[in-house]
Amino acid sequence: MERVLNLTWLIPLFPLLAAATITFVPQIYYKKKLSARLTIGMMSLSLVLAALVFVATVAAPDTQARLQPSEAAPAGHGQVEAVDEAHSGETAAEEPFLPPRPILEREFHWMATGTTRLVLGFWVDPLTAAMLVMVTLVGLCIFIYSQGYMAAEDYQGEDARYSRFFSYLGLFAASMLGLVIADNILLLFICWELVGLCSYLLIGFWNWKKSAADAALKAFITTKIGDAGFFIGIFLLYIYTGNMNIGHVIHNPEVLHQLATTTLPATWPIIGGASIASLAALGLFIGTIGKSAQVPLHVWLPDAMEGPTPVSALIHAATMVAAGVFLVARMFPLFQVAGPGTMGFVAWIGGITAFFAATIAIGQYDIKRVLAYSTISQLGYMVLALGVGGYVAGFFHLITHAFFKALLFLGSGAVIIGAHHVQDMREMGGLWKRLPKTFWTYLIGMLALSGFPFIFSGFWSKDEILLDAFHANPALYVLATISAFLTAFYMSRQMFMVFAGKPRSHGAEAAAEVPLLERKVVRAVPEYGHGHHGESGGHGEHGRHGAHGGPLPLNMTLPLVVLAFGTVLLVAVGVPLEWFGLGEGTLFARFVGGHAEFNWTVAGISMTVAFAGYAVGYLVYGRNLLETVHDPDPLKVRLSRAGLGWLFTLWERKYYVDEAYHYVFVQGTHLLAQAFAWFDRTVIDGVVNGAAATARRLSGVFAWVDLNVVDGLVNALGWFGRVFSAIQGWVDLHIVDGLVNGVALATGWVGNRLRRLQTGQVQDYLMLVLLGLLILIGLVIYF
Amino acid sequence: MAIPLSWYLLVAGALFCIGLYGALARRNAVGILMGIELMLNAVNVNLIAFWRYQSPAAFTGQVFALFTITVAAAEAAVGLALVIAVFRSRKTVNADEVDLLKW
Repeated sequence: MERVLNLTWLIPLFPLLAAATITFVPQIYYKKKLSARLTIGMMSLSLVLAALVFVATVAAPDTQARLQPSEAAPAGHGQVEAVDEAHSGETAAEEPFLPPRPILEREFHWMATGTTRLVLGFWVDPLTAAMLVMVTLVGLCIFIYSQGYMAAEDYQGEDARYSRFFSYLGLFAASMLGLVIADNILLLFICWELVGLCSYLLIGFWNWKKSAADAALKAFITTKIGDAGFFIGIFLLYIYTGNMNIGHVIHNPEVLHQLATTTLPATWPIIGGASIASLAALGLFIGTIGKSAQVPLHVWLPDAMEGPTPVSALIHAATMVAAGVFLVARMFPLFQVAGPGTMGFVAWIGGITAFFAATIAIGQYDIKRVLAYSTISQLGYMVLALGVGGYVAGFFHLITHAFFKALLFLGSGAVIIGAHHVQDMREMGGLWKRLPKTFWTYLIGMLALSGFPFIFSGFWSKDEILLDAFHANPALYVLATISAFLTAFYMSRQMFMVFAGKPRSHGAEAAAEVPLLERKVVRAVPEYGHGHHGESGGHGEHGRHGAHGGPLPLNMTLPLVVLAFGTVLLVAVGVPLEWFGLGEGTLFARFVGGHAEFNWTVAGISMTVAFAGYAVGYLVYGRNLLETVHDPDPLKVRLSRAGLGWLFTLWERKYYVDEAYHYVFVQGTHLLAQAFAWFDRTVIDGVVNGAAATARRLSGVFAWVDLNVVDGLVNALGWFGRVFSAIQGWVDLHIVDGLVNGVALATGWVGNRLRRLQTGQVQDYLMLVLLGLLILIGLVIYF
Repeated sequence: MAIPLSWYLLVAGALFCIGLYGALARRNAVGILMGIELMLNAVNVNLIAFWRYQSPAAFTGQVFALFTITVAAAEAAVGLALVIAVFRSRKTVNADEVDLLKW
């Protein structure tokens, strides 16, 4: 047994391997059927292992001890009071409820920085075991269903994206399973973020559709807001306890006591005087508000219906949104010691969400939107339960809800595909004859959800919640009961609009299923639109094979049956055992270590309320079956007659929350951006431009100085130069040249005169010689 | 001995002056040449006079005079050749008419 438990870490690993293989091995990626089968095979392995782990957990001595009837145990409340540790002096007898210790815990060192070590690990306790089985079983049903569903969709030419879908599913399954077995709040957070990532990838799977891409982003961002709170909670826990191990906190009364009595100084604004436990619990709960779509962060979940229906079923009904509730359940002792204020906050958020979403669901026309708001409402129930101390009730509802909500979503997907991609309920009708398996299983899901008494587990889980609310706070009880009525009502509305009456569109008219006993082989991945299904389910008049759609294959209808069985079988663990003389509580309550009780008054009220819901649904919708697509909603008609038509519009328009958020946050951010842009343009650029203008003026002045003063000086010097050169020119012209010319003239004159000596007469020359000689003699004699 | 030296020098001088006057004033080229001859002979007389009366033993004066005679002869020959050349070109022996180098 211990060996099996040691292998728990393999449970998330199998789907992860499938996802990694599909992603990284092209030979597998391009073979669609192989990818799908690989993922399904791995998930089956995980299911088997999870079942073994569950059996091992049940067989563990601790669990066995709890499961045996105990005569000495008083038939007390089903829930536990919030422990107000600050006043522990007076109520010393109250101890926080401690969940059972884990059967097995294994850790390994992940990372060391200096002397601090980050340790991660996994553990197995009843909470884990139950979640493992639920996630793998529901997951496997959905995976098988996806084979058929995703084959009928349009991939815009890139058919291999079918494989990608399965790899994303595998990654999601791995993350969710990892989240469930994490014994360390950091590891839980990592897996929490990973499931958020997978949600983003899967919602936006039809990535050519802007609405899908927007919805994916909306989901991611909205949950991220919650994650900020979660992270603060983790910080607080780490700072004040020194490690991130969950068990260290929740199984340790001393640590809990210390967290509850350490308070912030009272001088701090708003949170002054609050205990660390309450702050940490609130932080974690903010994460839950985001992830489990509580008001006010619920807005992403209806938009997430843009994703393929299996995604809606798996992530946004059964598992991912349950992670938030799971977190609170996991950290339940912390919430308890955080005090009545925190618990009350949790409970009221849950109650308000339950009511709020139920009213919106009445006004929706898209089949998936109704289910989305229904999910939000049911999550509100779970959170409400945990807030009033109903540990068992909340967790049990989580498990049962997973089954019937997944069933409902898969059923809605079957309806959509079967009716040839019709999603608006006003275009459906008359499908109970055409899609029988779908109809019956959907009916089972609907009855479970609305709390049909005794035979469906939804009744038992919801009833426990109502009972706990009754004990805690009458106002919350009334709110929850009204919400139960509304649940029955809107689900009846849906049933009548979708399945009853006559088909109101061609798609609905041509809907068909492959019968269970059909002997012909039904392909797992039907090739729609290729004219091959003349063979399978050639029923009646539908020779039409439109662009998509045809008879629903078995791989889409059989998972519905499995889930329906699950919904019914869970009754067995939710029935109060005192009816069989086996002691107090229910099997489930004993398994998770809590208490549960049954009260005929509350049960009677909830049964009445459920039947009232069915009755009103029949009166309003069953007797006024819509004839055509354009018929107005009968409730709207009635309300308008009573002057309350605005109420229906309010519900139909989701109380305008999205619009409000848009105006406050989106437009607000725009305005802020515009304000900053204005500031940048006018003030900052003004300064810059002003500096430039000043510089330009300055340069103008300098230019003037340069032009007038400096150039003036230069020109004046030039003028003097010119004057001098003029003088010099004159001098040169007249005097110098005069001299030169004068010399030349003189030479010419002398030459002219002396030329006369040149008579050409020899005798004259001789005469001159004689003259010269005489002069020379004279000179010699006298000197 | 009885004739004083100064008398020979005066004669030489007078001859020289006459020859000079003839060289400067005569129009006919031959006449100018005659004047030049006369000057040269005057010089000869001078030379001999001085030889005889100063140092009759050394025959430097005689040699000198010989030189002078030779030179005069050569020069006369050349001069007459020139006159003839001029005459052939200019058809005149009148020195005044040969003034091509006049300014």
